[in-house]
Amino acid sequence: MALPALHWRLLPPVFLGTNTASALMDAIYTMGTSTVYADGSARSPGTFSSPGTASLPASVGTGSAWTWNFDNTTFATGAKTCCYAYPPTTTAINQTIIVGCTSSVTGATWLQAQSDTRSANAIYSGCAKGTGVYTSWNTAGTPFTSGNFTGFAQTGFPGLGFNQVFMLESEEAVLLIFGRSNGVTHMTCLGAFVDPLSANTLNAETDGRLYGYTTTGVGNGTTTGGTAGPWMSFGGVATDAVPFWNMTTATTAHFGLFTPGAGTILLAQRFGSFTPASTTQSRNGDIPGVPFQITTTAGTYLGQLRQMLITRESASAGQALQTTAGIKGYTYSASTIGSSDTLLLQY
Amino acid sequence: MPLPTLNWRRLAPVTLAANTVNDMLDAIYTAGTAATYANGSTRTPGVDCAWTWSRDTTNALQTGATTATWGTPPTTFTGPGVTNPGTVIPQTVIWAGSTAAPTNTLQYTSTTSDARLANIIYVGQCKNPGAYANWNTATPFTTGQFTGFATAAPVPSAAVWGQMQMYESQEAVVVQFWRSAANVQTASSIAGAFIDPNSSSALVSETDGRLYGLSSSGSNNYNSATFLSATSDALFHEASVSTNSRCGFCSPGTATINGLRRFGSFTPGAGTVLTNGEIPLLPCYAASISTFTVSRLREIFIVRDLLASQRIQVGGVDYAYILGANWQTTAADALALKV
Repeated sequence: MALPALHWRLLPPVFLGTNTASALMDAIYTMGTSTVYADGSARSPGTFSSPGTASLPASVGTGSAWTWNFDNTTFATGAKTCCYAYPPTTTAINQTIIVGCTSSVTGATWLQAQSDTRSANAIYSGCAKGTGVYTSWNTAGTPFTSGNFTGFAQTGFPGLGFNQVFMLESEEAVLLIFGRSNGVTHMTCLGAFVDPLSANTLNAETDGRLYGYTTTGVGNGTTTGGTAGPWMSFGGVATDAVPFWNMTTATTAHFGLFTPGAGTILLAQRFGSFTPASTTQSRNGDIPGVPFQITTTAGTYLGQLRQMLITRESASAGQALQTTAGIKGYTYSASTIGSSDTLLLQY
Repeated sequence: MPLPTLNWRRLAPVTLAANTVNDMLDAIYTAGTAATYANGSTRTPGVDCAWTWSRDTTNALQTGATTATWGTPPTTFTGPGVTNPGTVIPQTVIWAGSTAAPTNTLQYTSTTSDARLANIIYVGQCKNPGAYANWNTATPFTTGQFTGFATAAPVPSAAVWGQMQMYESQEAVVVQFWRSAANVQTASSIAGAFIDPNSSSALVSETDGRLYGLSSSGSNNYNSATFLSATSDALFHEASVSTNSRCGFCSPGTATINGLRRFGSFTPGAGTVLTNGEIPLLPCYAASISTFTVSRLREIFIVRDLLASQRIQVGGVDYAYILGANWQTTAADALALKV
């Protein structure tokens, strides 16, 4: 049986006044505490009794709204260095997602995903399951009092020229897109975004989910880095970045899901190769939604992305695809300004 | 909204009496008139998933032998586990061929037309058909919109066909020929309403929400062992080359062919299973060559490498039948037809 359908919502995008680590963290926190979505509909996140102080949420959000907190003491920069969030959906597995970025890495010891280097001014993200209260993200284990953590994987860094941040959230997963001034995007998706389509405990956690992360990585960190345009047919090279694809090279694309019932990571990748085009649609204008399957890098089937579908090429996030009935979903693709391979996140 | 679920059934394999195009057609007719399925369950033509078949043994091209056999879909739905498809457009599927080359058949055409050849078996599909007239004319049925005939398998003298395997559902039929002796290859063809455009727009679907057409591995080659990643001459891939693989549907309300190609390239293996060994059934889509539709193949799924002779069971009950590139020895690319 398939898991409950997720409903993806777009937060009001933040356009960065300054392209710094703290500005990126501020942008994420601003979006995460918004009481309205980009389409004008109301959003109801939960609350922390004392924002900035580690605790469990005093209340959790409703609908698709996650509840965000921040840490502005680690690394003693005087600014936010990480933001973390608890989902509105409660299952047998508690999960928390976390994004960090700091101008200082003095004494950095955080847990690395696949040995990604610890760098200043780089965006890192990870997912934890079985979590408790936040402690610190600069620890060798989980940033929380209990549970398992994927480790931090690098998604990008301000030196690449970020000028906007998009956040899409659903009941059980969050997708962040960092847009550069040249239109190139970097992405990380965190949470229970893969449906194993099986309740067997070898295939799924006790709540039927799989938890994990994917990131495009930073590629070669130049103007050609970031999400590869034809990423749905791309096998990945170290100089470019491929969503939903794992590469072993540090700071490149990573994709990992927790082994059910354990803290180890199953390295994952897209199943199949696709070459959609702007013409991949029906002649009455309907846009398609083709399910996206995931296997381990060794080929074992893991599951299907949840309400994230292959669709016709379009420009990136913030683009709402509409029908006469309303918003059909939001897009994520390789560029904010040009047409490229696109994922539709269903509304 | 997705179309009603199809429920696929496997007929008992039929051993060809001889390796001729006429015996290939007789095998289809024999399977289509069987009273039981391969798993021993009862089959009643016209009911649930069972089509009703007729044949032509008096055609002037080759009298005294079967040169065509055609089926009409069931109209009564009473069985448990069988979805009633509701009101649909009348259709007929047809396989035909003779020892003499056809002279006046309507040829399946997408960029190129399939050649008229002797000893080749052809497949076609007709919407709103009238009575059968003559397959060796432009209108094998007195009325209706016909796809034209596409080649359905390599010539018997080269292939040495040994068995025929048929699968049927409420709205579509699959025919597969297996080579004899030590050979492992197959040739596949499918006809009917196996395409779900997931749209009720009159621009995209027929008035019943379906698209009607055919797909064939062609007569140029057998099914490729890697047909799910092949970009030419492969099942569910319109090759636009005479006698190569064909896959197309008639535009709504017309007989104009639109070519379809599998959407995505896949390289499943024996290890494409869940951690506990379960076999996942992965949806298969096809996109039109022109901007027309991206459609789902109805209850036809990508699976791990398997053999055409295999089935998937859950709790001892048939769950899906395998439409594989190979029927014995070496498991290769395969599709699953869900029960």
